[in-house]
Amino acid sequence: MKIRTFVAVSLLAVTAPAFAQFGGLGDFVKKNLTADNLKKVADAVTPMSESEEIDAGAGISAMILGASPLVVNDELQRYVNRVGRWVSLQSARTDLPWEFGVIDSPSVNAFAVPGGKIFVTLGLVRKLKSESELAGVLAHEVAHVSLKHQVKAIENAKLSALGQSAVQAAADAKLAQTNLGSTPIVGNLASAAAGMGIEAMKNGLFLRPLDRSLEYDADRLGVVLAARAGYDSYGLIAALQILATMTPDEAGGSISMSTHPTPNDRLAELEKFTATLDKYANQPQVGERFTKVMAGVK
Amino acid sequence: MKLFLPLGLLLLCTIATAQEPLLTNRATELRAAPEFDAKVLQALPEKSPVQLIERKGAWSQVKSGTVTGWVRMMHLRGGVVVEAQPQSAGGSALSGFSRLLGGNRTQPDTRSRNATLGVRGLSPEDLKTASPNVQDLAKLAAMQADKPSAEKFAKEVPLTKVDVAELSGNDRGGRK
Repeated sequence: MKIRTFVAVSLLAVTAPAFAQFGGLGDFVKKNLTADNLKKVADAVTPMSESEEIDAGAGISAMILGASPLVVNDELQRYVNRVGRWVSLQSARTDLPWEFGVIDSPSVNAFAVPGGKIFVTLGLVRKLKSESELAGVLAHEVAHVSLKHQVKAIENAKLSALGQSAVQAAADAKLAQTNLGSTPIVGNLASAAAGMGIEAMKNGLFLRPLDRSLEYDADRLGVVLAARAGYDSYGLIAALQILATMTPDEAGGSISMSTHPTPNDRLAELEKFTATLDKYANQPQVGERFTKVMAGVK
Repeated sequence: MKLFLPLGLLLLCTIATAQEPLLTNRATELRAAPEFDAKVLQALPEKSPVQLIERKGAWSQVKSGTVTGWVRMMHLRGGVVVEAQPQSAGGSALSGFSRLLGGNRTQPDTRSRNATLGVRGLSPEDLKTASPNVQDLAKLAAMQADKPSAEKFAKEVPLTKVDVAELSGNDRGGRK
């Protein structure tokens, strides 16, 4: 917070004398100190509101779904939503409009989008063996949203890129909406924040990795959320072991990154909490209900 | 304030199939039952490969050679090492998976060598150039579960809320 305020103040401080040096504010000011530019500065230094976060998430989600649509299986989708919603009820942000979707990709991946939209690939769901493992994966993603990791990343990106055309453009609702092209703008996709989300995807902003320490934070909180929901505490660990045994050969999913901690590193971090993990290890795995739903997946 | 890279999504990371064995990450024991005082069937040196059968709580049932037994889950790690990929000219963090799947083996897994970004549907390029899918965005919302239905769903098992404190520092000292 301190840094943000400092940067904001500096920007304004640097800007004002710059005008003065060119003698007479006159045309220069008229040209540059526009309401639009001031709004951009203000936007960049104002924390995102929850509704902006949700709208930005809608834009990002629309892009993800554009690349990989939902699996057509209502039973599976409703099931994953119930598991995810139950887990999210254990988080600090129970009132977000949490939505969970299984996307039709053979890659093994899961995504959290700002505002509470979570995606898992069919490739990943197929690898899991019980509801507690699914809950562990979803809980890791819920933790990212609950801890506002992406919101903070967006705010930082806006700040650091203030003045740079790419992200400035991303913050510009008009441009973003233009980029929707022939796509009909419906519902909350018409908002400036949704446009920013779409634009941020086009710029690759959301494809950059989070700091590895944030992944560990999300793993720790994820384990806790799943255990609070009553699931056995080793679900996420089981999922990480599955990841750790796979080679990238095949369906490979890959928006992963060089800086992403390896599953083995993540397991080592979680091992520090073995005593707590063991306390909740014998809560239900709920294998049957999971298997039943998966039997209906082609 | 922490500096972190703008990013967003992800994270359980990626990648694909081909089930590899798990490896023990220390010398441990294969036991007859998922309990600390169960009979030891076999001593497992570090880096023993085992095939996962199922798990129960903190224990994994595995097959070691011809012997089936239980080993502590936390004593198992993946064994695949992916060689570092050179970053491409664009410098994007997306261009290589170095160490993504890392393990402790020193021999690189040669099958992984060319596995950079051959993804169908979800590559960074696919995501960047996608057209917003508003139909599925609406479908996603339609599948949403409200609080009462999630609570009812939990009750069916039943799953009950448990008071679990957040994890911090570390709590080693419990049984390994």
